[in-house]
Amino acid sequence: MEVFRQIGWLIRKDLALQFRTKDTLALVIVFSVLVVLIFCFAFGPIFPEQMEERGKLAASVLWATFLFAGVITLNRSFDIERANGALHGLRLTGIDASYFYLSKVASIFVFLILLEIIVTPITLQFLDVLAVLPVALQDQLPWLLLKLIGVLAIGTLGFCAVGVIVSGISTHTHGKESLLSVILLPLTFPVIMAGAKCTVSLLTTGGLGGNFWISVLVVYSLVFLASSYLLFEFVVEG
Amino acid sequence: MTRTQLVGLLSAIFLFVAIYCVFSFAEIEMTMLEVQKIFYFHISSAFTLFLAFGVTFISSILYLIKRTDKYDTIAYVSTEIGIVFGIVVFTTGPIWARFAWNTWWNWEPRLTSALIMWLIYIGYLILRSTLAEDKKRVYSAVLGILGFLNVPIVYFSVELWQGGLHPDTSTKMNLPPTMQTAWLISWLALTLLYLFLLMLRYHGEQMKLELETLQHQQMGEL
Repeated sequence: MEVFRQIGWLIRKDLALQFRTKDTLALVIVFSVLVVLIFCFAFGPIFPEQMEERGKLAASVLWATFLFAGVITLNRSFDIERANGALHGLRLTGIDASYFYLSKVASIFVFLILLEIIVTPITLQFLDVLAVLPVALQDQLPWLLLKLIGVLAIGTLGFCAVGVIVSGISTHTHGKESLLSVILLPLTFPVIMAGAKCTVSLLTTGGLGGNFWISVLVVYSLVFLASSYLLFEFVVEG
Repeated sequence: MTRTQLVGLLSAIFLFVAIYCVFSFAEIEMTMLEVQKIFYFHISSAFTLFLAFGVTFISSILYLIKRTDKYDTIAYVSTEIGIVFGIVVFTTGPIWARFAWNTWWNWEPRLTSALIMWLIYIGYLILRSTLAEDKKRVYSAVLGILGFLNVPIVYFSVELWQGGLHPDTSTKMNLPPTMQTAWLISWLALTLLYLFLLMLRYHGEQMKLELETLQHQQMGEL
């Protein structure tokens, strides 16, 4: 129980820091909308008529946006920890490095999910995805959105699992922003691939198209959560 | 003659034998004719690439357990050499693909996972060059492990992503005997070359470290 209490406090600390100033949240939301707009300008104003093409476009826009936004969020989150030796202070309280890892994953996950809940409907509207959805799916729109957020959530978990450990490393370097993306993006390819596949399938058929991609997504997220959990101690200590 | 020189000499001999075998001994393939010759060095380089990154992976684990600088140096130099073999793979691969499948690039799982792994380890080298001396060993080791763990997952997902539509590439097991011999010799030659470069770079790094220690000592005396 002590474990959960400590992790709970760490998550509360992170979220309080994020939401009291709100500057990261505002920055990331505006940034995400801008990325979506750039895609819209590139592909629009008339988007592909076929449902499948439109679904693929929407899925790629969503994933690209959340990856970029995720990189920014991770950088900001670790900047706070490094400033004024906050992380060292935290370590002096005797808290386990793995609790710190889990709490960081959880708080960034919550933050990104919030972002996704705000930006996904905007993206779908900008790309006019609803116009080409079959009538049967249009009737179940809230349910579809929920499933979409669910898939994005699993993908985000995998992304955060690797992201936290990699940004823990890259905050020590000179060009940390650019370095984080160079290391993190190739490491998260499977999650992007599986997540994008599930999203396309959801936006075109309303289902996941079998269990395969969702399983890859879940397995990947768990494998990396476990391995990063084990390795994080070295990062904090290093 | 030192061990490094011996391995160097052996790899040079084997490379010459391999070139002879590839161009004179191995029979010419019926469909692709001479272009098929690129296969010997392409596949062997790819094997060496995986070997090099495998060595990085194992040395990184050993470094985290034992904390001996030796393992860190091996991981580092092995990555460097792996990157070079990667360049060979990604130069010869498209040429092969252009003639075999009429496209410069196809999303074959082995090729794709090798490319992603290659990108990850380029990140590893960039990371190493930007980290401070005290941090770089542990952090590189962590990334060296994470990068290699990714390979089977990438391979598996790419295989199913492209739905098995690519031409079957598992033909090297049914090669005629002359081609098999030529391939084995080129593989051995490149593995020896890898070993030679590894030893050479390892000694280079050791000397660099020694020089740095001496310089520090001298600074202290002044």
